[in-house]
Amino acid sequence: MSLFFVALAVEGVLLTVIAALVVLHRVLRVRRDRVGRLVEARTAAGLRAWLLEGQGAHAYIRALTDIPPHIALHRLATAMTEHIPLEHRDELVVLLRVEQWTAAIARQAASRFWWRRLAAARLLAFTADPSDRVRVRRLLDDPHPAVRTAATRCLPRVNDPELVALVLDRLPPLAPLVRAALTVTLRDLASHTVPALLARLTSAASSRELEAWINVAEVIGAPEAYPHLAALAGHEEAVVRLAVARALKRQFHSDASDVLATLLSDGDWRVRAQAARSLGALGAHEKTPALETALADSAWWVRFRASLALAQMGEPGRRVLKESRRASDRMARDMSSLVCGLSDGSIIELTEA
Amino acid sequence: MDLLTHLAGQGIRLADTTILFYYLTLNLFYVVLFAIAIPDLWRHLTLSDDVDERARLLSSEAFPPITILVPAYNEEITIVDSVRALLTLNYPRHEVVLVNDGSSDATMEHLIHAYDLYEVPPAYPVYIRTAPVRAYYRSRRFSKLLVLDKKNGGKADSLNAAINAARFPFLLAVDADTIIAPDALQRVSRPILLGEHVAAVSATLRVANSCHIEHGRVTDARVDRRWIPGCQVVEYLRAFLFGRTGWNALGGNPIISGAFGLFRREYLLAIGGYQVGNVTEDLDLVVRLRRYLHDNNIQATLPFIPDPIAWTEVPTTLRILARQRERWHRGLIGTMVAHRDAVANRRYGPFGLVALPFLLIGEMLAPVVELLGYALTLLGLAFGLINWEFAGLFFLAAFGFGIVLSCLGILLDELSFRRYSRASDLARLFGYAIIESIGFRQLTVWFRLRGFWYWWRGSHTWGVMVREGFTGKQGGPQQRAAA
Repeated sequence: MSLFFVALAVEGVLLTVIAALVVLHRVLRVRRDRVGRLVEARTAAGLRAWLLEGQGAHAYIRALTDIPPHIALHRLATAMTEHIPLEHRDELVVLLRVEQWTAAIARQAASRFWWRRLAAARLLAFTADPSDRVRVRRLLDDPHPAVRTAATRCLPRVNDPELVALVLDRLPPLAPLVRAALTVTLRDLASHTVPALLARLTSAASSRELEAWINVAEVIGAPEAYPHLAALAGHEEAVVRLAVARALKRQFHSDASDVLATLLSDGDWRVRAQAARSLGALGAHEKTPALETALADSAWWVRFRASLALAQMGEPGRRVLKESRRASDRMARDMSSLVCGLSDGSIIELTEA
Repeated sequence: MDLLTHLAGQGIRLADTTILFYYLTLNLFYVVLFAIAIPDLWRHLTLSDDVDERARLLSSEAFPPITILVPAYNEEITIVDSVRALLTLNYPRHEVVLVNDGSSDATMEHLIHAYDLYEVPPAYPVYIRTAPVRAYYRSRRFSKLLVLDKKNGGKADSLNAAINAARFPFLLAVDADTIIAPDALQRVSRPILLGEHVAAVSATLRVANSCHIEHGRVTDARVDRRWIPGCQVVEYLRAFLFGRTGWNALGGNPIISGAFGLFRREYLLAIGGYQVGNVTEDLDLVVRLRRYLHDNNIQATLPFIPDPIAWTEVPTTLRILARQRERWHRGLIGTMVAHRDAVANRRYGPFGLVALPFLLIGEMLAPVVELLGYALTLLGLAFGLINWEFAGLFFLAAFGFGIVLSCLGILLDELSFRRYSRASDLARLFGYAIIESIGFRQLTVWFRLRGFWYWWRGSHTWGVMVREGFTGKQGGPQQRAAA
């Protein structure tokens, strides 16, 4: 047979196989969707019977057991996020922990494959208890970032100060946004996080570590952290001073505005801009003159943040802005005009963003 | 005479064999891209399944703040709906900076009326020089909207003006008529949330023609009954689902679509933003960005994420399609010529050694090789210089392999996203996979060849692009012009 006919046959077979696969997948999907709708109806009925009619979670658990584990996990995660109130979760977890399919998924914490470890971490985020400490610790050390992130969600359930400290120590080298994601969990565990944090907020730590930990202190907003933050306001590294300036916006300590006013004359424009922003967030009226001076700062962002901070301070701040529209300094004039022209909604949005 | 005929026959056969191997190599390369795309596609599908994590993070500061840059020129038909869809995306921290690039229609008036815009003083820094901005507007109804009204300077110039006014560290460049899925910003942020240092992220573009669209959202994905947009649905599936996903494993994408691409602002500023006058500003930007990263030894990636989706309108007539493809090819030639020193240059790693040579041989020269292949094969057949079997093999490689590749794209969509739920749409896709390889592609060869001619003449025009609006999608098409 000639080469042409061989090639023609190969292409014909390939096309037939692809078309058959598409059709087969479509048929299977239609069938799976039909079964899925029935399962969904059963799980929804089980959930309703449990949450609304007080009949216990057994019917819901049975419905989850009847579906493939990965789909059951997805359904469970969605229900936990969207439907099941906090006060009902422990009841469900007790029942789930004795189920074979959940035990099988939890065992995947030691799997060679990252997607299985991710499934284990996702499940343990809802079902873990202190006995899962070793598993959670292993997942926190996972090489895959998605698994590590999911594992931090297990911390509130394991409730172990040592694991919280471990997460804190792992934060500094991570990217800022990854840290922000992990900090959400640390905030929920403030009782463990704050003591560990205070022990770390010393000048002995590196600037990278301090930046990460000060950000955690900012999110938690614990008043106990104020003396540590104030002490770090004079740190030689600008990134640390910047983090302090940001964190102080949540510290309603009587001296916080004084520290921020000092930072408003920092050598780094980012620190000055952040100090202005935090003064606005604190509503520190007594620092209006310092902010007025900052309107003529050489950096655009400092002028912008100072003018927004003044706009946040109500009548006294607005008055300063209006007067600055006739100021001799052109940059102060332009920025005051910009902010005076903004609607209240825009000012709120811009100060928050 | 016999000797001459013999030599001509040998020459044509040799050239045809070379072109046949060119086709086979290129198509096998696509098969490799398909094979390596599957694990990456599956990885992203697995990661995107974590809905509870995304819901949790929505209330935190973890998602990176994003400024959406929207250049608009004569978009009066769609602009209000498009902007509303962008403002109401499900994302915690984003702003929209729209630049009216000296529209001659009522784009600006529609915006002022619909969003209650008021003029604010021009107190924005100018990092990149642009055509003069006439006025800055903010909205009383949507505080995250900033509108710049500037003199016409082209798309790249508008994007540069938007970069100047942007506040956030990540910039998403979109076309004014692009429809972004509500959760696309959350999804496109994934590599950033996973700690990857990205310089840019690209995502999937799909064809919006014939889809049912309500309030700036695609509610029902359909495959157009008309063959020109229909063939482009197949093209987009193939290009985005396994073409670009596959490039992730080969050192990253050489192209990030101008209709939907996320960039780190500091790098865009470092390279001076978009190049004004370039007709394919998105391709030129990515090449310059990659060179900048390599030259400065910055370890940053440019991944493609398949699950965030944006929908765009494609040409529906041959005239418009011809203009678009001619412009794309002209821009590609211009970019390749401008960056010729980076092609096959080891200094630029996989980008210089794989991506740029691919763009040169597999994209830029493709229409020339394809035309030569058709001409030589037909000539050879006409004069009896090659046999029917060889000609058959050539056309199998040129057409048949292309159909197989298009069907693989359809298969991949079916196995992953399943956007087209109707059996009729699926059947249509298979039909267009055939037409796309036999007919449509040959037309684009001609359009792309014209790109060489216009490039040679130094043309920098975009041409008038008449499109249909999304509003009143189920009714008659509404025509608008966009440069």
